[in-house]
Amino acid sequence: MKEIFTGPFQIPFKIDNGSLIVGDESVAVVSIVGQSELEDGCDKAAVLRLMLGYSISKPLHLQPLQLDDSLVLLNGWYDKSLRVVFLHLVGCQDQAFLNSEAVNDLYEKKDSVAATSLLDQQYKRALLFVFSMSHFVLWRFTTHVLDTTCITTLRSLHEIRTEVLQAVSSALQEVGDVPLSWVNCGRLCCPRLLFLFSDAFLDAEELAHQLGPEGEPVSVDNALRTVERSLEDQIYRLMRRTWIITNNTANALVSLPPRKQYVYLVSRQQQSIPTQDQALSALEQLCSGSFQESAAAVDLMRCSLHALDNAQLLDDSGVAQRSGGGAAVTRKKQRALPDVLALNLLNAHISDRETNNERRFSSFLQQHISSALSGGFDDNVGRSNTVPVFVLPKLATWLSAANRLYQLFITPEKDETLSADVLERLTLESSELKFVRNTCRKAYESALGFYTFNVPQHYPVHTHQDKLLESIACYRRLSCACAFTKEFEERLVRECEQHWQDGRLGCEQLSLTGHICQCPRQDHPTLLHEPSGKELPDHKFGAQFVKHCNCGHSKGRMQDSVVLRALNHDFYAQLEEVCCGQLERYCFPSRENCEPHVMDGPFLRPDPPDKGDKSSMPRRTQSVWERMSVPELPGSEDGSESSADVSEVSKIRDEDSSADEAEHSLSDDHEINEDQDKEKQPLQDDETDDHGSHEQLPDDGYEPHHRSAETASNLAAAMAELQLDDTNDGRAKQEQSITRVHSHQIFTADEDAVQKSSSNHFLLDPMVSSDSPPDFVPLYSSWSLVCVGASSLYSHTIGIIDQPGFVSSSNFLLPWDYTVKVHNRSDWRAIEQRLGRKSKEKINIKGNEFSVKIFIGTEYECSAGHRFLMSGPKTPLYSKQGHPTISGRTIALSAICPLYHPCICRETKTLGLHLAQLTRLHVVTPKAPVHVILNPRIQPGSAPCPTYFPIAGGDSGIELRPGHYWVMRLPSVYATDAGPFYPPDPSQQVGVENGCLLPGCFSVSEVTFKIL
Amino acid sequence: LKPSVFSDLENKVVPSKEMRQPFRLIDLDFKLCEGHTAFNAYLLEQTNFLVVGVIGRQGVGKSTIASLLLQTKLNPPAGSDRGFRVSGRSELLKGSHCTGGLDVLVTPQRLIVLDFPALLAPGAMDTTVGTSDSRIPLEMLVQTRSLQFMALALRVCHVVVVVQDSREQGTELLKCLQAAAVVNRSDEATGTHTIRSTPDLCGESKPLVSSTVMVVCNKMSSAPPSLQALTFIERHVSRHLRPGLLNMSSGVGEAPRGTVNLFTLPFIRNCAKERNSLSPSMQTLRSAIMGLERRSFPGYDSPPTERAWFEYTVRQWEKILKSSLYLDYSRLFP
Repeated sequence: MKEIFTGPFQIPFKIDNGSLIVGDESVAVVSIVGQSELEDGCDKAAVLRLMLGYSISKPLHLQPLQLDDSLVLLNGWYDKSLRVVFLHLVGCQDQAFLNSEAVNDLYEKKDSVAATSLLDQQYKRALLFVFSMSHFVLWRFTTHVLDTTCITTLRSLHEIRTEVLQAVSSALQEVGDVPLSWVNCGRLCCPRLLFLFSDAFLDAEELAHQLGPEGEPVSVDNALRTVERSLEDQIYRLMRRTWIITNNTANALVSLPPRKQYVYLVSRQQQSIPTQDQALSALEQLCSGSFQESAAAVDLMRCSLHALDNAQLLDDSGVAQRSGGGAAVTRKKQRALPDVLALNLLNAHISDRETNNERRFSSFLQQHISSALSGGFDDNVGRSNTVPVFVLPKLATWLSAANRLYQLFITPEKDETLSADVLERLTLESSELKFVRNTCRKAYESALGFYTFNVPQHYPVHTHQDKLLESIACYRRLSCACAFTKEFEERLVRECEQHWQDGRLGCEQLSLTGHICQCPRQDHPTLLHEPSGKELPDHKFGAQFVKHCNCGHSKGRMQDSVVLRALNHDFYAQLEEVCCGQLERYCFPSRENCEPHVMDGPFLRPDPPDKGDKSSMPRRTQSVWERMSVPELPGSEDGSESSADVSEVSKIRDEDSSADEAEHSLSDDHEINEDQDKEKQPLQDDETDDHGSHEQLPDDGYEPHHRSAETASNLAAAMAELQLDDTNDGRAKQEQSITRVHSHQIFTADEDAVQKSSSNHFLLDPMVSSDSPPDFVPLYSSWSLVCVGASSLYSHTIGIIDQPGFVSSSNFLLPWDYTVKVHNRSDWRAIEQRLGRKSKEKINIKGNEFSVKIFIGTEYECSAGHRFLMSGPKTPLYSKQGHPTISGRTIALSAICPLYHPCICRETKTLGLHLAQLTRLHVVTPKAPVHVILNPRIQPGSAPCPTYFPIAGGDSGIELRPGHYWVMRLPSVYATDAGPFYPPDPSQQVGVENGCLLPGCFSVSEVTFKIL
Repeated sequence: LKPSVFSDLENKVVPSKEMRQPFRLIDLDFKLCEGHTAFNAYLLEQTNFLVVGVIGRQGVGKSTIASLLLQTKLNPPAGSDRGFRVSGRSELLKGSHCTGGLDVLVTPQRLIVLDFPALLAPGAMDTTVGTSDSRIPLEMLVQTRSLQFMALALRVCHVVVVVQDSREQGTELLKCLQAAAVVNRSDEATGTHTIRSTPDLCGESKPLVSSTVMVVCNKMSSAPPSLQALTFIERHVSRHLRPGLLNMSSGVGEAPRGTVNLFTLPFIRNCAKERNSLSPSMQTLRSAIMGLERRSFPGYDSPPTERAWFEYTVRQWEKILKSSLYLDYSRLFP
């Protein structure tokens, strides 16, 4: 049994809906798409009421839209009497749709560009569906101006349609009872596009006045028709120019009817909803018996019955029918019949009235529908032999086909039969989304390029992190914040990480001066000493410094190292071999060179009272001052510690001594050594008792690495490198390129090493500091004190002339006039006798006191070998006109001298700052019966920080013999067993908090006659 | 609002040459008009000026609003009206727009109003003559040109007034404006080849570098618009304009949440009669525009003078025409 199906439905159509049994009559399909406006109740299909007398849809803004994933609504309505299926597309061009909860959620979940793109895509897909399933498409606009979006959309849909045509055909084949021509074309016909504009902003009356001759306005209808014609002309022109319509409709997406009206201007009055009052008055008219005409009565009765059917159907499907007054009048079945009749009469009357007033819309649409129902239309232009396809489908077939094509077009992701390229073709991203993605991709590529460009062959983690941060900043600068930001940034981090991990991992080892090793990590697989037995190559820090020897006469190149001994001792020991080996030097107590007992020699200050009476202490001078040959280096067997390149040592000092003399001195040295060895032997036994615990531990254990013999090839390579970089420029560049770590930077790698080595005792620390036990003797001394010669070697008018590297006019020591008081008369006489006449003239005697002139200097040396002296604790000496007169008293007694000072060389100004480190203390002692006491105490950082001094035991200083020129060389690196104190960042301000020489370094002892 | 700035501007009277007619800066062929340098005669060597650009689609009332912005008095005497030509009957019947190129007018109060041609307009599509490069489709060309005009507006104006009517949702225009901002930024980013190694400082209060966008919803049917309608429009606009690229929330306007500078103007059916008087809502818009914080222009440390600004504008337009990005963007159109 077949019932008439009429009323609303939705696509996809639910076949199994028992109440709806579809008929098999042929139908025409009219779709309505386009924009709707809030002020019209968001119902663009309301205009159909002008023709049908009832609404096919509800006002959308009255109740929330139920949206699924498809993000479009396809509401249908079948009118049995007209044999027309109306299809109402609700999508992103409808304001009510945009206002719905589902869309709000979408915008909250997604980036706005992506969400807009998705909505657009679904709308365009729905349009493709509509164009395949309709005979007519009514495109609604809210003003009287054509929206160019329509043109661009149609352009893009045209191409997609031809590309997916094959898929559409095969999908239609699956549906039974589809005519072959429909299957082949993929659509019912080339749909006619009809345009509905609005005259909301059009002043029709004024226009009518303007159009007509003076004083005789044309009718408003005519005026509107004129506007419609001009719009028709424009649309035709534009669509022709953009190739949307062509002569042959088979190739076109849509067609425009050649000789029929296709633009309709919907008038405000037509859409305006009659008020309640109007409806009531109409009812009154009806009830007062104004309908006597039989024909009219019959017509009204038919209309009311029709409306009743519709109302019931609307009720069943939960759609409220809108009728007079704008209020939704819902019909209930149990309502009394008179009520029903009255309301339906009212409905019919109103629609009748409206259609009578404005018949133009029904005639506009009806003529097209009639032509469709009466065998189809042919919109081909010109002489075209092809007969256009026109299918008038059966309703049942149409619904099945619609369900199938809905799946294909609107939810292609769920259609498994669809091939990938069809799906890709149906993925329509907005141009903005594409552009943003392209921009992001470009930014990503340049950021990745920025990372990989000029990257060293191997680099450590902090270089990687710095570069990564820079490249991310580069990416952010070039792209904009969007949905892809996270994706691309993550990808960037991943790729950079990959690039780094891909054989570019650098060794993390830091040198003692804060430079990082430039070797690949696989060469040094672990930072810690592990007894793997495998020979590991040496670290390469790429940093080398020009340093002068103990006395300051020769210079050599010091390679950066992780071995404290290499920097503080071995380098200088090797230079000694060619330079100051012959000089008299003070032997600091160490287990290698000197006996520990020499500590209490005559050159030491008297011990503090608790150490015992000083007079009782034996004083031995010979064993302390000696002419030393270069001691045999304990590390020379493996050779790796010979960091100073002896072959490179440039002898600047004019050696007066001939080769014979040198030989002679060497032989002397040997003798002395032998003597010492003999003397040491019994003493060492004693010492073993005292320092037994120290002796057991190797001093070299400070170095956290297991180091093996450097191969000859490695050495050769290192030498070649050095020679290449021999020029100053090369060196400067190299220094700039090498990575440096400063004291404020914290390194995890270093910390790890420290943590793991913390099990070692601090006695491994080979430097004497305030943390060492009072009787600690290091294996070797990091300090050096040599006597350059007699005090006459220094002339204050010329300054230091025989030592290279001094910045010009900064080579003067500071005079320090020291007044000695003599209380004892007998002493005074003895002094006068000893001094003799010549000396008396030099010493300024006044009453019972006399003053002596001591010259002192604090020398700073930078990594490039530039040296300068200071005139104050923070001011470098710069004496243009002769010798300086400024007194060295402040420096000597009270000032805290910083350990680091920016170098005053020219390179500092041009290439960036070099930091100079306090390296030497110069003292020229007077020929007078006074002793200058040198007691340097270095604090290499801000407190709490250990203080470093040459000899264990605290406050004792070293007495310097009068009448000589002494040079004390300080350690290059200060280190505890927790790690070295790195030099500060040269770009920052350096001060005493970065390290300092504590006050009281220079002092003068009481007059003593023992040495006079 | 900063009324002091407004009054400063009002009282500054140093006219060199009174402008009565709009000056056509860029013509229909999309080129700078011959003798555009003559515009310098109307400009001064001073820095206290405000540039307002008015953009919108066809028939939304750009020229009308631009003309109203120029009004200095509430009820100007007859004959003193100055302004842009607004569309009338002939344009309506041709379906075309009125302002064919970029017009500019300067008031004695140093307000420079740029009246842009209709963007994304069918009229523009109609009049656009296909270039010699026939591979570029017509709609792409129109899209490109709209993008370029918007890019110019964003580059050279202090304030960009986006006019849309109450019925047209303006989605396409807003999308296009956003795209113009993206392309502008991308163009600037690629223009500077020097990659600074220091990362950009975040959190620093940067001076205003982009122009302020104001959305004017014209032709509202109900005089005070309902909260629902305002909320809807605000949400709609804020969905399509991203605050990162465009400076669109200065805390002025009627938007309920304040995310957009939104203004509404009622629909005046008979424009001709009421054109010369400022409606209250128009006054609000005008004083809001005057009181906005003025942006800076890239390349100028201090605010440029009027003539320097004009030079800058000409330079930017030539840059925009040379850049291929705008066409590239349009090519992406599906």
